[in-house]
Amino acid sequence: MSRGLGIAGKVRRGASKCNGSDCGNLSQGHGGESELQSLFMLRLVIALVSLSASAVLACPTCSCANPALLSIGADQPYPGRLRFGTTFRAWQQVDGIAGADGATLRELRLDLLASWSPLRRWTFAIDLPLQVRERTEVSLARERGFGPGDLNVSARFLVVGAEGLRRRHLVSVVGAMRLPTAPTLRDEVTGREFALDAQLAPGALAPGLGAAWSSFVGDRWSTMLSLNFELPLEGRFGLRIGPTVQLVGWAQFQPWPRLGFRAGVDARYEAVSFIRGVADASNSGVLLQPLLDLIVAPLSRVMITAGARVPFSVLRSATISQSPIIAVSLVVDV
Amino acid sequence: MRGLLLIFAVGAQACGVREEGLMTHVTVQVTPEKSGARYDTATLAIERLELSACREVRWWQQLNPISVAWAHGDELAASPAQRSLVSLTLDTPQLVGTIYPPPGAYCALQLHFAPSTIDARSQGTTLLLEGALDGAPLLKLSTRELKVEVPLDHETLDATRRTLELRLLLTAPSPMGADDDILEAAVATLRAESPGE
Repeated sequence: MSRGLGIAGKVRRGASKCNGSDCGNLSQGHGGESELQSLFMLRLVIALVSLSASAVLACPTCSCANPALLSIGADQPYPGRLRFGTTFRAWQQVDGIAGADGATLRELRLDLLASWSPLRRWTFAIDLPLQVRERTEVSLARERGFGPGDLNVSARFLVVGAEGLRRRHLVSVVGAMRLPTAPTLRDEVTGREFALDAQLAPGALAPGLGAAWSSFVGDRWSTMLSLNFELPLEGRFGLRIGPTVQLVGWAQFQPWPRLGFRAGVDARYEAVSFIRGVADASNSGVLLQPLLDLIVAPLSRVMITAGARVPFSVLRSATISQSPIIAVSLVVDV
Repeated sequence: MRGLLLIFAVGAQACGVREEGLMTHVTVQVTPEKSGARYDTATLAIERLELSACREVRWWQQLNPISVAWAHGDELAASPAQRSLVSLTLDTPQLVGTIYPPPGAYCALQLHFAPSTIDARSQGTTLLLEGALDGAPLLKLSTRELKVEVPLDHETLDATRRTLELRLLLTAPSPMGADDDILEAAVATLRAESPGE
């Protein structure tokens, strides 16, 4: 069961790391535009100006820096910026041989995100996932639970790129901590605890450290590369997930100011996990997830991202098959 | 802000429901033998119990005029019940295992008899008869491994029929004869019925 949780945890963590796909730069209208938008003519003028001045104002892609570190404020922040967002995800995996001993895990997950940048270089973010998870065994025994997952808090420091309106490079470091806020799920009638895989999260403290580098090529292209390290401590049922290294890279093409496309890969390596001190290598290995996103900014302070990740594993011994992860996110600057 | 607080309040509430799946309870009912032996110990060790799925015969296979023998192995259901010890002196039903199979139709129950590892007294024996017969000490034991298939009457398990009770009827063996023969004679009497059907 732990195998699945490792994977599930991976998916969860990976999913949370996708939150950054929400990190579109909403900086094209930092203030005053909302009043103007009520007037049609002025909206038209602004739209025309925005189109003609896209090279300067750049829009969502320009300062999208680090989508991998769950901070929706990962782009070039401005002092006092407050940002809210939500990301909806759906995924499924089968651990084992379907029809013989395979257990199917399904999850719907809604992340509630907020970030605040008190200073130009600093951004603090919080991510509370609400999850519905269902585990179905081959015998049709089913455990279904709902609740909050592990809360994730992070702080990001912009090392390079804090000054100036439009920098060609942004370099940042991030410190993050996953907190064991997910309760232990159990059957309401019998009080029996759910299997490890059916739990919403490992329930472990997990400090993390990372760095990201974004660069912007011309008006329409941008790239991002991030490297993150996470070291989970022992959590529920004596499970200690192995340390994880994650490398994310993508390129974004934005042919129009309010529309962009992103393609890349999310690769991670997980070391051997331990359950009550006993090594469980079934889950360790490399997981690759090619990613594809469509990014739309219907309003100057609103960004919608829709996309999919297609997981496939390399060097993993467990018989785990994962479905593509579908994700839709909405980010609003207030 | 109030809406956000509401979302967080709702989110902080966790709930969970477990729904039991398909299961097959297997019991053994022993018919005592009449030799007059007095047993201190009379046990039969089961290593594993597995349900064997019915083989689906396609219409084109039915048209085949040549008789075909089907090998077992790939039809076994998962989640076998493991290790139990049957007392051959009890005449009440003894639960020997619960199997959690996937949905399907099952045509046989496979029993794997092997030396016991769960009881100190019968440790290492598949069959152990220890006591006295006609005033003389009696000791019969077998360490053989045997696989026996007991036919079932096409028992179907699915979302509408989630539990199957299988009762194995076994006649306790006579302590006469060679040790291994006694074991074979005992398992040869096995037959299955599903009460309530």
